Amino acid sequence: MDVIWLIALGLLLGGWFVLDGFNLGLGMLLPFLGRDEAERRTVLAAMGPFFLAGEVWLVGTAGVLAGAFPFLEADLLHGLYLLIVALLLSWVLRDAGVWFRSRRESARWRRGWDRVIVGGSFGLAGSAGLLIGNVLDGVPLRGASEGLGILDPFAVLCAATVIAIFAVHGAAFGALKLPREHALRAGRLGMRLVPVVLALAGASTVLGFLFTGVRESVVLPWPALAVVVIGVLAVPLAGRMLAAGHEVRAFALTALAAATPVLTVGAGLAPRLLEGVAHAMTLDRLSMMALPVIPVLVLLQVWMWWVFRRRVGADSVVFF
Amino acid sequence: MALDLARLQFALTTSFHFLFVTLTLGLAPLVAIMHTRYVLTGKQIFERMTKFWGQIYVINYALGIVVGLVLEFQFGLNWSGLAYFAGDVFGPPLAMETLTAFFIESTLLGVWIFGWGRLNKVVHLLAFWLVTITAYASAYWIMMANGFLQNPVGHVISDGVARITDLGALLTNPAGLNALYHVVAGSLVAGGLFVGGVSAWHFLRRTEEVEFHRRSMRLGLIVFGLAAFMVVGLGYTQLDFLEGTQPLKYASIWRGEDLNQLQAEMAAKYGPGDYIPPSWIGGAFTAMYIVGTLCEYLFWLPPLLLVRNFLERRRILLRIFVFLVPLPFIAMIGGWLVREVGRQPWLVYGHLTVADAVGSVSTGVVLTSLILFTATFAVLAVVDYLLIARVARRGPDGVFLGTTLGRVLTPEGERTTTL
Repeated sequence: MDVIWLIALGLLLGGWFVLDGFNLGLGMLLPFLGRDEAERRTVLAAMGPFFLAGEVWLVGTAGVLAGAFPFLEADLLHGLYLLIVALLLSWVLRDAGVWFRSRRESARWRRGWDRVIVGGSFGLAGSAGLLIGNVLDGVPLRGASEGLGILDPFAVLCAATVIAIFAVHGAAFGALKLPREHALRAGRLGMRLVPVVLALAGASTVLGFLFTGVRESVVLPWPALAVVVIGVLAVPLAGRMLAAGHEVRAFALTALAAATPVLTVGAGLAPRLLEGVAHAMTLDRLSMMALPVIPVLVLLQVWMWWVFRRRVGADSVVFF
Repeated sequence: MALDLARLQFALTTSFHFLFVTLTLGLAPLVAIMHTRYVLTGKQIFERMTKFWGQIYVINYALGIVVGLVLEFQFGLNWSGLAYFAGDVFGPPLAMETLTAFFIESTLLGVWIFGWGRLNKVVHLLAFWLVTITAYASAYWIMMANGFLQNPVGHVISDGVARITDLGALLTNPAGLNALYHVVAGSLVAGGLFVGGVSAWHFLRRTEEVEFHRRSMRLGLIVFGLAAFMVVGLGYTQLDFLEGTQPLKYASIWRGEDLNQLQAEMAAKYGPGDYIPPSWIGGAFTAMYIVGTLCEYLFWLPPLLLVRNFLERRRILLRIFVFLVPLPFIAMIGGWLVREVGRQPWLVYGHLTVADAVGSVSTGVVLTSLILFTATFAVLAVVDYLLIARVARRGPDGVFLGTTLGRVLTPEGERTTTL
C-alpha cells in the first residue's frame, strides 16, 4: 500500500512539473513571447484555462505529503525551511501577477505586474529545481542544510536545469496553443533552448556522480541515470518535432522532460522516501477514501484539456 | 521567542485566509442560484447578475487560494512536532481536502471562468454547482482536521504517537461539525449582507439599473435573514459543548467562572504549567457577540424591508446597510481568534502543547518568513480589496467575465473590460 501512495505522490508532483511547468515557462518567456501588449495578452489567454488546473497538482502533492507521508513532510519542510519560504513567496507573487495584471488599463500597472509574473515564475521554477537538488543531495535523511547550504553547487545546477526545461516546455506549449505566426516564434525559441537544456542536464548529471552527498543518498543510481538519459534525449527530439511542425508530439516530449526531475527522485530514492510514510492503519483508511478519487481527478483534467483543445484566437475567453 | 513568532505567523495567515474564504463560501451559493435562474429562464438579467457577482467571487478567490497555499505548508514549516505526534490523524483530513475538494473546485472554477459561450449551458452551470459543493466540502474537511485539535477523538496513542482507531468518530467529531455549521451560517450572513450592501450603495447613487440591484438585494437580504436566524443558535451549541471539553476557554469567554480553580485542576491533571488562555480573547468574543446579537434580534428586519421595495427609497437605511458589510468579517475573525487562541497552551487539546509542537527553527528564520509573508499578504490583500471595491462600484456595466481576446485587444473593449 505504501508503494501505491508513493506512486500517487509521484503522479501529483510529476503532474505539477508537467502541467504547471509550461505556465512557469510561459511566465519566464513573457518578455520574449510577448513583445507588445497584444502579444502578452495572447500569451496569458493561452495560459488561462490551464493556470488553476496546473497549480492544483502542487496543492494535491502537499495534501498527500501531509496525509500519507507526514514524517517525510516534516523532515522536508522543516529541513528546507528557507527554500520552502522562497518557493511559496514566488508562487504567491506569480499568481498575484497573473490575477491582477489585466485588471487595470494603466501601462505602468501592467508593466509592474508583468515583472512580478516573470520574477515569480523564475523563482518558483528555480525553487522547485533547488528542492529536487537538495532531495537528491540527501536532505530528507541527513536533516537540514543550514542557512545557505541549500545553495550547494549541485542544487544550483539542478535549479538551472529545471528552469531551462520549463522554458522549453513553455515554448512548446506556446507552439501548440498560440495563434499561428506567434506559435512559430515560440517554436523557434524552443529550438534555440534545446542545447541549453542538454548542457545543464548533462552537467548536473556528471556533478551528481561526483558529489558524495548525492552518491550516498541515491540508493538506486542506475535506475535514476536511466530515467535521466531518457528524459534528456526527449529534449532534442522535441526540438526536431518543433522544426517539423509536429507541435503535439513536441509538447508530449517536453512534458516527458518536465516530469524527469521527479521521476529521477522516485527512481533513485524510493526506498528512502518510503521511510517517511504514515502508519499502515492510517494508509488503509486514507486509501479507502482518497485513492478512488485520483482517477476521477485525472479524468476531470483530461476533459478540461479536451474542452480547451483549440488554439487561442479572437473568440477565446480571457480573464488574465 | 520563535514559538511566539510562529504563533503570530499562524494567526496572521489564518486571519488573512478566513477574510477571503468567508466571502467565497458566502457568495458561491448566491452566484449558483443566479446562474441557475439564468439557465432556467434564459433571461439576460440573470446572466448579467451571474457575471457581475461571479467576477467579484473570482477576484476574491485569488487571495483565498494564495494565502491558503501558504497556510497548508505552514504546518510542516513551523509545527513539525504536530506531524510527528499526530500526522497520522491530522494529515488524512488535509489530504482529503486537497484531493476530493480543492483540486476539483479549482479545476472547475477555471472551466467556469473560461467556459462562457464554449460549454453547453447546463454543463457550464453544473461546473459552478460543483465549485460550490466542493468549496463547502473543503470547509468540512478543514473543520474535521481542526476539530481533532480541539477535541481529539477516534485515536489511540501508542509509543507517543497518535493513530486513527475510529474513523467514524474522527469524521463526525462534534467539535468540528458544530463549528462547521456556525462558520457556514456566518459566511452566508457575510455573503448575503455583502450583496445587499453593494446593491444598497448603488441605490444611494440613484442607479439606473433598478431591476438588477433590486433582484440582487432581494436575494442577498433573504439569504442574510435565513443565515442570521441560524447563526447564533449554532454558536450556542458550540458553547455548551465547550463547557465540557475546554472549560478554561469557556471560563475566559464569560470571565465569571473561577479561572484559578480550573487552572489548579488542569495542573493537577497535566502537570505544572499555565493553562489560562490570554485574557484578550474575551474581547474578541465580545466583538463577535455584538454582531451575533444584532443577527439574533434583527434577522427578520432586512427581508421585511424588501416588501414593496420600501428599502430602496430610504437613504438612511441604505447607508446603514453599506456600513454593515464589514461586520460579519470582523465577527468571523473574532470567532476564529477565540477558537484558536483560546485553546492555549494546547495545540492538540490535552495531548500536545504548542511549545512541544514548534519545530527547532531559529528565531531569525521564523522572523524573516513572518515579515516576508505578512508584508506580501498585506499588500496583496489591499490590492485585492481595492479591485473588488472598483468592480462593485462600477456595477454591471463593467462586467468583463466571459469577454473574449478579440474584444479586449480593441481600445474600446480594453476600456470597458478594465477597472
